[in-house]
Amino acid sequence: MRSWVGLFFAVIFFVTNARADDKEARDLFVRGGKLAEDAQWAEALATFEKSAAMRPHPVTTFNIGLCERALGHLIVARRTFARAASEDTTGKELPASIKGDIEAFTREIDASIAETRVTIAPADASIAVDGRPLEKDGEVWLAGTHAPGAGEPAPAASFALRLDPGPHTFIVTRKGFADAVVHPTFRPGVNAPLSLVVDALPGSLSIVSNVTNAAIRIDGVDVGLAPQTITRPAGTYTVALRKLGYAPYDTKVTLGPGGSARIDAPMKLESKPIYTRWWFWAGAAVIVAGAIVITYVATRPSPQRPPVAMGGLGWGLELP
Amino acid sequence: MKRWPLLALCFFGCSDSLPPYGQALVVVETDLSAPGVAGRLRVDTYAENGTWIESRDIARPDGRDWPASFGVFTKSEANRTLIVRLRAYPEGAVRDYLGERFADWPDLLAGKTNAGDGLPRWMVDNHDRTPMTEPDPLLTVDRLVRIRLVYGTQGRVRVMLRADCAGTMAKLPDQSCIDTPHARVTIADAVLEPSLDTPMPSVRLAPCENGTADPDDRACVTGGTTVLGDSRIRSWVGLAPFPPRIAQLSDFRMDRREVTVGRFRSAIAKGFLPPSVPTVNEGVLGTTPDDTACTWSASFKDREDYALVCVDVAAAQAFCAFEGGSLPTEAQWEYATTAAGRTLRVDYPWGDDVPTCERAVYGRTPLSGFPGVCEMLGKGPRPIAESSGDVTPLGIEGLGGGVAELVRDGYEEYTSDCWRDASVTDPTCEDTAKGHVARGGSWAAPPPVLRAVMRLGSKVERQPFVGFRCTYAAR
Repeated sequence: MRSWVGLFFAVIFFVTNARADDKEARDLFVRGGKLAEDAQWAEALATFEKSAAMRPHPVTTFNIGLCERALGHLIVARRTFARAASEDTTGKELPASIKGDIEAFTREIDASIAETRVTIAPADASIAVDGRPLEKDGEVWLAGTHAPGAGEPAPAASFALRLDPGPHTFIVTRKGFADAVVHPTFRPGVNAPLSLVVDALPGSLSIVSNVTNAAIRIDGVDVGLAPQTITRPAGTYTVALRKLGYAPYDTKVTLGPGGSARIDAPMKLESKPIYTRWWFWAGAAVIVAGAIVITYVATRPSPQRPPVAMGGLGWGLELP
Repeated sequence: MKRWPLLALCFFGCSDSLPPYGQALVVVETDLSAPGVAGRLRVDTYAENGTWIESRDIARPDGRDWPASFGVFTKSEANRTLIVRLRAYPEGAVRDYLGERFADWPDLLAGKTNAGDGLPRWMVDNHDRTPMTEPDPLLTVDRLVRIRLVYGTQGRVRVMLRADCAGTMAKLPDQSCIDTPHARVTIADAVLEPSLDTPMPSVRLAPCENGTADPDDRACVTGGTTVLGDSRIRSWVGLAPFPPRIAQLSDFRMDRREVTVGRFRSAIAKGFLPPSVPTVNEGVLGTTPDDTACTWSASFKDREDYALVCVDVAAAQAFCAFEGGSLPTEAQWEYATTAAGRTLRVDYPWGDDVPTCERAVYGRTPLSGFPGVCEMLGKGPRPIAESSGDVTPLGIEGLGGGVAELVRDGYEEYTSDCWRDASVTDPTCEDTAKGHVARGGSWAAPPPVLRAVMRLGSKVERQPFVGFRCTYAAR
C-alpha cells in the first residue's frame, strides 16, 4: 500500500495546484492509478507516460518506475526511480515515504539484476539484445534501455553487461558470417559468463566445362559430373576434371567466407586413338573378368560360416 | 553379407564356407563328488586387461550334469585372449562379495580375510551387475584358465577342477592351482584340442566289486569328496566342527558294527595281546555313566553282544591292527556317516530326520543336565542289535547312537597347525598331545550329540559310553 501513497499525494498535488492544462494530466494520472490497482501495468504505464508528457512531476515519474518494476523491466525501472529523485529539485515534491520507497526499490533491483561478462568473436561483430542495441552506463553496458533498433558494433571483445533476470535473445552479426542467435536465461543476482562466436559462411564454387559429363574431383574426392555448383567452407581446394579421350584438367581455387568462385575448365581432346591407350585394354580386361566373376558368384551359393559351439550349457560368450 | 569383396578370392576357387570365428568350447570336469560337493559352477570371464566381462552361476544338481561345457568366441580377426575363472562349490557355500579378497589357505582357515574394496565390478551398459555373493573359498575349487582365440581356429579346452585344489584361491590375473594342494602356478595359454565334442563323463567302478567277496561284517566305502565340518556350528562343548573344508577320501572298508565284547574276546583267543586291558566290570551292568556300565569282564557274561567300552586308544588301535585294519580317521568316520553312498550330505547316518528313540540308542540316562529322553525304552547300555535302525545306505550301523567311537585323530581345532597342514586327500591330524577325538552319539548322549559333525574329546578313553570300530584298505 506504500506504493499508492504516491497516488494519494499526486492527487493532492493536482488538486492544490490546479491549472487548466493540468486537468487532462490529472485525469490521466487518476486513470493510471486505477489501472495499476487492477494490475494492468502496461496500460497504467502508458497512461502515466501521457500524463508526464503533459505535466511532468516526480511523483508521476515514480509511478512510471513502479509500472516498469512490475513489468520486470528492472534496469529501466531503476533508472526511472533515479530520475524521479533528481526531478525533485526543491526536495519537497517527493514525500519522505516515496523517497524511502525509491531507496528500497533501488536496493532490491541492484540485488536482482543479472550481470554477465560477454566474450564476442570476431570482436568487430554487431550485437543486439532483445531487438535493442546496448547502452553504456559508466563502466558497464546495459541491455533493454536503448530504443529498439539494429545491433551496433560490440564495445570490445570482452565487456560487462547488465540486464534484467530471465530469458533474452542475443543476435550477433558480421558480414560474411552466419548470424549467431542465442537464448540464454539469467537468474536474479547471478554473474555468469557468456560466449558469442559467429561461424564463417561457406563459399559457393561453380564448375563448368566445354565438355559435358566430365568427372569432377575436389581434393581427390569425386563430387559429380560437370557442370556442378558446390558449397564448401572457406579455403583453398584442388579441382580436377577427367573425361575419357580428353587431357586431364587440374587447377586450384580459393573460396572466401560467403564468397563465390567459378571455374571454366577447357578440356582438350587427346591426340592418340583410344585403342592405342594401355588403359583401354586394361579396362576391357577388367570388364571381361568382372563379367565372368559376376556370373560365377551369382550362380554359386552363399558361403556359410561354421556355427559357434555353445556346449551343454547352450551358452556362447562373445568377447566384446 | 558383403559378397563383392570376395569376388577376386572366390573366382580363384575358394571353399564354400567362411572361416570360423576364433572360438573354444570350454569343457569343465571335476573329480569332486557331485552334487554333494560340486553342486554349483561359477564362471567368470575377464578380458586380458582385467575387465570383468561376464559372470554366471549354474546349478549342477545331478552328478550327470558334469562335465559342463560352454563356448567362447570372438568375431574379431585379431587374436584375442580371455581369462576364465571356474569355481566349483557346494550349494549354499557362499559369502558376501566385498571385492576380490584373496587369501592363502592358512589365512582362510584362520578366518583372516581383508575387508575388500568392492573391486572389481562387472558393468554392463553402465549398469552394475556384480553378483552380491561369491563361492566360499574354503569350500571351493578355484581355477583360472587362459584362452587364446585366433580367427579361423576353433577347438576344445578341457579343464579339470581337482579336489586337490580345494581351498586354494586363484589369484587374478594369472595365478592358479592346477593339481597340487595349496600351490599356485602362473597359467599359460590353454591347449586347444582339435575337437568340438563334449566328452562323456568317466564311469568309475566301485572298488569292492571286482569279484572278491567282502566279509559280511565289513562295508565297502567308495571314496569321494565331501565337506568335513559345518559352517553353521561355530562353538561346541567339545571341538567346534568349524571351519568346514573339502576332503577327498580314498576307498576303504569299515566295520558295519562297533567292536563287541565277544569279538574282542575272540581275538584274544586267537592270540591278540592287547597293550592294556579294558576296565573290568564283573558285576551287573549298570545304567549310569560310570564304571558300572563298563561291558568288559574277565569271565564270560551275557554282555558279549554289547559294544566294548572303557577301552583306551592303544588297545583299540592294536585290536584293529590285529584284524588287519586301523582305527578310522575323523575324515573317514564323518564321510562314511554323512556322505558315502549318497548324492548329498546329511546330518545323521540315516538322513536329515531328527533322532527318535526308536531309531537310535541315545538318552538312556540323564547326562550333564540333559534328561534321559529315551529311558522309557530301557536305561543304560544296549546290545548293538538295537542300533539296526541307526544305519547308513551302505549298511553301517550305530554311527549315530549306541556308543561314541574312538578315532585316530588328536584333539585339535580345525584351525590348528595340524589341520592347516593336513592334506586334502585323506586328511588327518595325528598330533595327540592333547588327547583323542571320539565321534558319534551314545546311549548316554543327549540328542544334539548325535549330529555327525560333532567332535567329542578330550577325555574319551576308558569311558563307559565310548567304544570303537575298525577300517581297512579297500583291497
